[in-house]
Amino acid sequence: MIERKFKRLVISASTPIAKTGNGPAVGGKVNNLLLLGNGTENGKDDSKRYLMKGIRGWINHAMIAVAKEQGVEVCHTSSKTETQSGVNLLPTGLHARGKCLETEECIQHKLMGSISKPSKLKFEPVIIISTASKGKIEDNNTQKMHIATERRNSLVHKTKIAIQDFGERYFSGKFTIKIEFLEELTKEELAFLLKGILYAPEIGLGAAVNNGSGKVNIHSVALQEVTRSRGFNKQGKVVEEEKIRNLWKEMEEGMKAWPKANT
Amino acid sequence: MAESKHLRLIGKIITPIVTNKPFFYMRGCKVAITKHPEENERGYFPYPRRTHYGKLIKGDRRAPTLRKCYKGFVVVMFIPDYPGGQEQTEKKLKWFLNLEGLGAHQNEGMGKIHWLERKECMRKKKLPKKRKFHYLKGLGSYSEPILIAIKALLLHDFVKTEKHISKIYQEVDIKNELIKEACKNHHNKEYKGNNWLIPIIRKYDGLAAFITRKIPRKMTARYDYFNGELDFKELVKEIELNQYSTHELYNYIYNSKTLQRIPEAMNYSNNNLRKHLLLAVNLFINDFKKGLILVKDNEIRKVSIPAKEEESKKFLSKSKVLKRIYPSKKADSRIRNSDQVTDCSGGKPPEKKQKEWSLKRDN
Repeated sequence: MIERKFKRLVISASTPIAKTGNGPAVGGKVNNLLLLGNGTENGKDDSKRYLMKGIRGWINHAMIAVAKEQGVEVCHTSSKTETQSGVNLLPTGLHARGKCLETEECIQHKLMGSISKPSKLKFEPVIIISTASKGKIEDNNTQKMHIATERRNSLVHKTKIAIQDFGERYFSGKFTIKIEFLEELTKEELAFLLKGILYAPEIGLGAAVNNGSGKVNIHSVALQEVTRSRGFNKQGKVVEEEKIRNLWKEMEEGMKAWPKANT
Repeated sequence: MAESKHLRLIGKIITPIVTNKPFFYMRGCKVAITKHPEENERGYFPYPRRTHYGKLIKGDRRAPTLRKCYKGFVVVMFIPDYPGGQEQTEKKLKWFLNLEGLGAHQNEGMGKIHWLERKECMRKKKLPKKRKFHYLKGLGSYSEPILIAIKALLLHDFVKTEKHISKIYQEVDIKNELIKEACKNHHNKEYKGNNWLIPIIRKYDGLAAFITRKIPRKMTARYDYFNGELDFKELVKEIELNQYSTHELYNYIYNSKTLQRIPEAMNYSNNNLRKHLLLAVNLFINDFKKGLILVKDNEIRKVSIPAKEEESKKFLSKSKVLKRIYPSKKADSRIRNSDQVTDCSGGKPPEKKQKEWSLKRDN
């Protein structure tokens, strides 16, 4: 038997409509959500599993926005400072990613890391499957959500020539995000992360935020201590167990630890 | 088939593992990402399904964010006879069992694994890998009808037909009238002449196109003009000079770098004209070596094989193939005496006895 103890944050949220990924996919057949294969035994089209992309980036941007509001300088998303033609890419109040490691490491870099230092957070994959799928879902990690495609066609006046012809995958419903701590977080770091999560709905998830999609409601956030054990039974099959303990007090204390002026 | 006993840890991939190759080593153990957790009949793990992970840029996943990733199962093989024995294997087994994932981008949710079971297996003996198809570096010696057919296949895309113009934009002046007629009419469905080359060009041109046109990829320019301009008129001159000898023409196309830059079709730019012509010729020669083509009355005919025979058909041995290409003089004379020819022999048939020849299929 092998045991591993770690802490994690479990966030339950819901969205009326969201399009994660990087914009539309030309042709409509290409999915902007990452296709992972079939999730049920019947193996039909309804049972396709998708990976919800861009959650780590979403929280990262939220944390930057929180820090900016409080007047704290943190890392930008990129280590690039200017273009080849000399146009400045760095917004005010931010420094290039990983530059703070040479002098005084910023709080955002401590959590998210960069190419020179690994991150303390591990985002578990959010795998979704359509609610229309029938049959038993093989994997415990998959979550059922409404998944559909928005077709966007427009033709030249009085002709059949297409100006645009593509489809965007979108999803809606309840989902949970799990963030695993690879190292022990300080109270300040935990507070910064929690505030970033609470600020995230203001930014919006995925694409077309200004067009009505990407609105997220966060219902609950829980800090948990997990003891995961794994071993073999007599037939050689792997048996897995999880013991969970909620740490409400620690989370409450953590919320007050950042920014320092409040304490 | 069984060789040595060893321990395996099998897991199912939940999110694709981001790696460059599906087989690698970790802590002295071989890790294989496979389609199924067991070897196939030939003793190899089936290659896993490959996808791409990265940002979308104008609808495509492109470099530098593009990464290869694999789906399926993970099999960790613990090599049995390494120093340390069983204690070391158990330590390593625990280390692997403690892993939540493999590969890059694990903090973003990629490469997650669900471990299923441990197994003690007998390793299967691997059969030698199948030989890949390759283009002949030089043509061998063949009878004249075969050489004419090869020449026709090499020249068929350099003239204007009903379907397309010359693929090098300038028409080649073919001196041989038979080949010229065949090349010009191989796309003409209403052709009612008696040219025996047309069905051969139709078959092998179509087959070569069918094999290479798997993935469509459109090309906007006629050729890669940014690597320098091409002089098509000079190309035509060189082809016209080489057209008198099949061997020279084949060698010219084999070594041509200009034909390599011209696509065979604008919608399938992965394939080039050089590859297409060489593939058509090589498929034709392969069929001839297998005995699917015969020479009759100085013309080439396809051999019709009944469906039952085709199932039980076996490839000819190397010696038989060599006999086909280089027939012995004794055999030739024996055939002539008995007025029977077994198949298309490499030598040129004598002009006087040409009418007396009759054909019979070998085997």
